[in-house]
Order: sequence, then structure tokens, then C-alpha cells
Amino acid sequence: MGEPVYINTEARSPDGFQKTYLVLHVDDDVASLIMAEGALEAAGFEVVQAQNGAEAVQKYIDYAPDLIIMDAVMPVIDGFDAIARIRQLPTGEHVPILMITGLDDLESITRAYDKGATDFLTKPINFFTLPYRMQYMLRAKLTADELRASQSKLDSAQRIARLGHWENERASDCFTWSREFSRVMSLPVLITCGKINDILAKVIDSDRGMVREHMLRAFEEQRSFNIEFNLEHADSDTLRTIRMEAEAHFDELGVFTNLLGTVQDITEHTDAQKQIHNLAYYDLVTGLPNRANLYERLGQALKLAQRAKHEFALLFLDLDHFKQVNDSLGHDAGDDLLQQVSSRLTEIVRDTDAVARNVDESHDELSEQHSVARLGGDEFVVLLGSINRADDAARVAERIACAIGEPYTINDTVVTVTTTIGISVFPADGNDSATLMKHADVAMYHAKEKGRNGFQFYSRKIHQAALARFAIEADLKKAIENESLTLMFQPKVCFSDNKVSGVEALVRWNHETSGPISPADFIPIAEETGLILPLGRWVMEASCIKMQRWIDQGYEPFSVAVNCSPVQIERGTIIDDIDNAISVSGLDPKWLEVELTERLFLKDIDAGIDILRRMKTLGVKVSIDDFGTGFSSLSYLKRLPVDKLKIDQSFVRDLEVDPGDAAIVSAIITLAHNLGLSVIAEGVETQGQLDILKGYRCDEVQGYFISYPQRPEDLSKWLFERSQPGDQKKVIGF
Amino acid sequence: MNINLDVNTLQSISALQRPNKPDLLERVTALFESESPKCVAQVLDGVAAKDLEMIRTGSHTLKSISANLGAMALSARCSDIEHAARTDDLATCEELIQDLNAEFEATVAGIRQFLQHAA
Repeated sequence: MGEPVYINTEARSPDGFQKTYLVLHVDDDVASLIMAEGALEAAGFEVVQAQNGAEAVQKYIDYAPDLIIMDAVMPVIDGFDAIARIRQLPTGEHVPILMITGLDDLESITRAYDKGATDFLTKPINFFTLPYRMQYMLRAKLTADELRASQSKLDSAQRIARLGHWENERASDCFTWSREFSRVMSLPVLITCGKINDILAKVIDSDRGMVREHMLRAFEEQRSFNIEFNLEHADSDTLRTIRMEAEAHFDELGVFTNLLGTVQDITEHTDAQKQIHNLAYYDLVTGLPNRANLYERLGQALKLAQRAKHEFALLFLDLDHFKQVNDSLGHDAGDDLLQQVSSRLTEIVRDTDAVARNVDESHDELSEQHSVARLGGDEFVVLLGSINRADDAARVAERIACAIGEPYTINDTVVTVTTTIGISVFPADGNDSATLMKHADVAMYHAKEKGRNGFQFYSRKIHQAALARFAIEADLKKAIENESLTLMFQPKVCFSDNKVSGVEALVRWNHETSGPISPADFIPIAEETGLILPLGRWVMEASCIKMQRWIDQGYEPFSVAVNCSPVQIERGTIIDDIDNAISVSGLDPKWLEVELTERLFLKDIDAGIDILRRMKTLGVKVSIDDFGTGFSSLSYLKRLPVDKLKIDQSFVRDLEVDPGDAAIVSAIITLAHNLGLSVIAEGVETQGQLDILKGYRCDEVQGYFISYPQRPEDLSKWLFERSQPGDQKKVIGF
Repeated sequence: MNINLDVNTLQSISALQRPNKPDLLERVTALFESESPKCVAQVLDGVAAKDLEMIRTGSHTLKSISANLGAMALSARCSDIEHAARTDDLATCEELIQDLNAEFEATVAGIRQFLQHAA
């Protein structure tokens, strides 16, 4: 018999390193040990031997063999107990053990497996085949080790990546998942299967429906998805951000088998992204948007302004003598000052958003375009994304200069700085970001040349116009406070009895130095600045007082019509203004007529109707001014609880020459009468117009043909003369 | 007496011999000659003392070590004795040990003869 040729175990090392494997052979039969040793060494194994179970356990601990051959029946501790003990050792769980039993001893074989034997061999041992048996066991062991290592690596990798996986079987609403999935989703770690609601237990309420929807739809429609959601995690004070991905799997016939998915905690990742974004777009010292961010906002403001055709302004400012603060108090103090300045700027811009300037325009979308940015050093930019006029920017600039000039307390030291502001306006001063920035900067240097602590527009024309309006605003304010405004009254006459049916109160302003200023010029300023509120209240009150005086003087009572600004309606002051005027004057409310423009009802008809109802409750009459110029839908009209329509003078003007206007006026009168409303035409200037209106059964007329607006004392005289018999044709040609 | 010595088994032990190592067959047979008389004595003493555990241990060991050398008849006899001892059958044990010594001597002689031939 020739020497057997074993495959050399040394060369079969799976990890590429030269390695020999150690066999622990346990047998009380020394001859067996000797012969097995020969065979195993020939095959490349190293052998360590023991002659009883106790020695075997000790040798296992000392040598950590890769394989064990264990005789069953031995003195001291038999093979079965030795196996049981080795299996309980920390490293002994997976070591392959070959049990040697008697051929006839079936019971021993069963017992051997029970105790943890890997395989068995019956006596007498065939020492030639033994090494093959061992090599087979070794290969199985190495494969198992590799699998365990790979599984363990995968688990570790998934744990490190906070990546869990899950699976959903076809035709089942049950899910299975990994332990890491449980950890990521804040579920009990030991539970790794369940229904969809178990999975989503910790997903925040606002996201849960969305996640469920995706999972169920992916299942029904057999498609993949990738979503992110937030989760309340037991181990975290803040919400975690989770990304869930799923893939639909199909068998070789293309039939959908299951969904396989992952979940990953990407909170740190998204936080980092946010942080990167903040670093790139915000100033570290003040937290304000930085230069890059400003340019983006400026770009958006440009697009919006071009589309909506409105103006916007760029305010470029720096702090005068900031360097001195920095040098004398240190950089930390300088930073502190910059922070305080930035919060004052932010506050002003926020307040600017809150000021509603024009009731016809919604500023909701535009107001977000206002922003404050720090360019670096002591330079700031305020972007007013939407302005009505250049002087809006001037107003903000003045408030900024005023607020920045207030004292600061820094390290118990009181510091005062001032600011100089340059302003550029789109589109007058430039059509692109760079030009607008450059011009605002240039304007600031001009302002500095003129002396610090002030503002300057880039364009001289805009600057002067803004200052002029500014001046008007200030003077108007003074005029209202001093009650140096005056009222004029224009009579209205009724066709049916040829009597004076009422007067319309009109406000006039005679400026100290500039002379009379048209209401068309100062009313818009009053509305934009809010001065219309005290002005409107004063007009209402003064008109009622004057009316009551005429009644007291014995004139036949007629009504006084007072115009009401949309701003008074919007701010909700009108009801109180009326109430106040009635109670101060003692006028019977039936002699007060409130004139409203129909534009008021375009925005919110229901709110408008509500105000009208409340006016009616006070007992006053309500008329719609400028009728025919605003909304086209007549269906509004029947819903409005009003008494009278006033036909706009633009229709009356061409009544004699334009058949279209005549048709409109005729139609309005017929319509109004059918709705139970009376009609007045304003702007009547000729006998011809008067005759036509009379023919259309118009109820009242007002205009230069009857009378110009008159001062109260002139009107008293006019009323007196009119009341004298035989003198009527001089005044009115009915 | 047919000692039933399996020569193939003895030859295959030689085949396990590795170069530059002590002679395997010599070691095994020497071991057999030194250990097996103790086993035989243990079995015989056990029967005399009616100690079944003693009989069982001795016969079990002798069964294994004789099988290792191809002494199949001796091994089979030991197996029978072990089984009888395990089942508390002292009478069978007494019967089976009648020729045990003679069979053992014949086996030892057979092995020595094989070794001489092999040498």
C-alpha cells in the first residue's frame, strides 16, 4: 500500500495567509492517538492530544484548536460532558467536534448530537480517511466562520451607517425588518416583524400618512420610492430625519415578489447641509444674510418687480466712526455693536412690512422681499422689495438713521454711532443688481460728503421729489393737528321739488407757503401715511357740526355727504368716526350721507357689506361714489345695502355728444330705480346735460351749473338768496 | 488457533509512517504489549472479584486497542465481554474469559511474527 496523498491543508488557507490548523484529539486509547497523529500531520494538521475529558477542556482553553476529535467513553470526564463544557466556553460555540463512538452504540450517537457534536465516526477509526473527514469539517467551519464574519460586518456596517432594512412579502400585509431598523425607527429592538402601523409608530403625525401612503402604493403599484420624514426618537431630544428607500423585486418570470427597503437616519447629514448652507449664506457675527444671500434676494426682487412693474429700493449704509469703537473698545465690543445694529435694522424692516400703505394692493407676497443683509465690516444693505414711491424708502431711511443713532450700551459703556445711507431705486437707478448696488454705494458717499448721519438718493430728481413729498407729509400732519384745513360745500338739487337736497363736504388745504394744494395731491399722501385716519375723522365731525348749525339757523334741513376713504374702512375706524360725529354735533343721522367708492367692494365684498350694514344701523344714508368706473359686475349691486348711486362725472361730461355715455347713464338710472335706489349725477355743467338727466328721471344733480363748492358763509348766503321767491331762475335754470 | 489477525490493518499503520519520525508500527505494538496485559489482568481479576465495572473498563480498552492492530477476533471477544458486563451478565463473562488469555498470547505472537516479516 502506497503512502496516501492528502490535499495539503496548509495551502487551503482561505485568507491567503500561510496557516496550519490545529486538531485537538481526545482519546484514552494511546494507540489511536499515535496513529491519528501520523495521519493528521501527514495531511498538514498540527495535533494536540488529551486522554480524558477534563484534560480536553483544559487543552481547548490553552490551545484554541480549530477542530476537535472526541472519544465518547473515557475516564474522569467522558466525551459527552467534555463537549457540553467546551460548547459553553466563549469561543467554543462554533468549533467543529467529531465524536468517536462504538459502531453498535446508537444511543451514544444521539447523545453526542444532543451535547453539540458536529459529526460522528464509529470505531474502529479508519485513519486513512480521518484527515479527509477533518478537511471537510474544516472547510465547513471556515465557510461558516466567513459567513458569520460577513454577517457581523454587515450588521456593524449597518449599525454604523444607521441603516436598517425591511421587507414586505407579496400577498401579505406583514413586514419583517432588521434590528438596526428597529433602532432607527425607535421600535423595541427584539421585535422584528409586524404590520405597517407598528413600523410607523414613532413617525410624527404630520408625516405618518404620507409614509404609509408611499409604502402601500409601492406595494400595490409594484414600484420603488425614496422619501424622507421625521421621527420622534426615544434616544433623542430633537426630531430625527429618516430616509426610506424601497425597491420592488421580481422573480425570473417578472412576477412581483416583494418590496425590499432600507431606512437610514440622515439627521446629521441634513443638519450638516443646513449648517453648510448657513455658513455660505449667513453672516456669522450678526446672523443676517450675507453678501451672496443678498445678491440672490436682489435677483428675486428684480424678477418680481419686472413682472409686477413696481419699484423697489436698495439702502446701502455704513456706520460712521465704527472704526473708533473697534479700536477703543476692542473687536468683541465691535461685534456686540454690530449685533445690536442688526437687530434694530431687522425690527424696522419688520415694522415696515406691517404698514399697509395701499388698500388696493396686497403686500403679503411682496413684504417677504424686504430684507437686511450685512456685507461685511460695518456695511449693511436693506432691500425694500416693494415700494409705492421713492419717499417710502426715504421714510425707512429716516427711521433707520434715527434708530441707529440711539445710544448703545456695550460692556457698561454707552456708545453712540450714526449711519449714512445711500439709496438706489429700481428701475430709475439701474436694471440689474450690480448697478443698483454700485449706485446705492455712490449715493452713500455723496451723503457722507454732505455731512454724515443722513440719507441720499442716487438720483437728484428722486431725492428732491422724495424730500418734497416728505415735506408735504410733515406739513399735512401739522395742518391736521392745527385744524388749519378747511371745508367747502357743494350743493345738490332735487328735480322733483327743485329744492336743495343736500351738500357734499370737500376738504381744502391752503398751504402756508405753497398756497392751495389739490386734494388729488395730498389725499393719496394722507392715505399712504395713515394721516387719512385723523383727517377723515375731522372731516366727518366738522361736516356734521356745520350741518347742525344750518339746521339750528332755521334752514330747511338737507343732508350733508361726507366722503369716506377706503383706509378708514380697512382699519375699521369708520363706524366710530360716524358715531363720534353724530354725538358731538347732535345731528340727526338721517341727514348724514356717507359716500363710498365702489372700489372698496372689489377686495372683500362680504366685509364691505358688513360695514354697510353697521352704517345703516347707525341710521345714516349710504351712497356709492363714482358709480360706473369700478367693477363691471352689476350683480354686486343688489347685495349692497345702499341708498343712492352717484353717476361719475366722466359719463355726464359727454352726455350731449356721446350716445354711448347717454345709454350708460340711462341704463344706470333705470337699473337703480328697479333696485329701489335713487340716483344723483355729478359734474353737471350745462343746461343740455340737465335736460337729458331730467328726461332720464335722474333724482338729483350736482355740478358747476348749479353751484361751485362754497365756503360755509358763502353757502349760507346762497341758501338765503335761493329761498327768496322770484329769484330762482338766476340760480338754477329748471 | 485462528488468531484472526488482519494483516492489512498492520500494513496500513506502516503506511501512516511519516519520514523522520519514530517508527509508528513499533510504537503502537510496543504500546499494545505494555498496555494490553494490564487490560487482560483487569478483566480476569474483575470476574474473580465479580466486579462488573472492572470487567467493563478492561474489556472496553482491550477491544479498542486490539482492533487498532487488526486483532479482530480478540476485539470481538472483548466486545462481547463488555456487553455482558454492561448488562450485569456475570455468568456470560465467566464463560467468555475461558480462552481469553490463550487468545491474547496468540495475538501477541502473531503481531511479533508480522513485525519480524516486516523487518
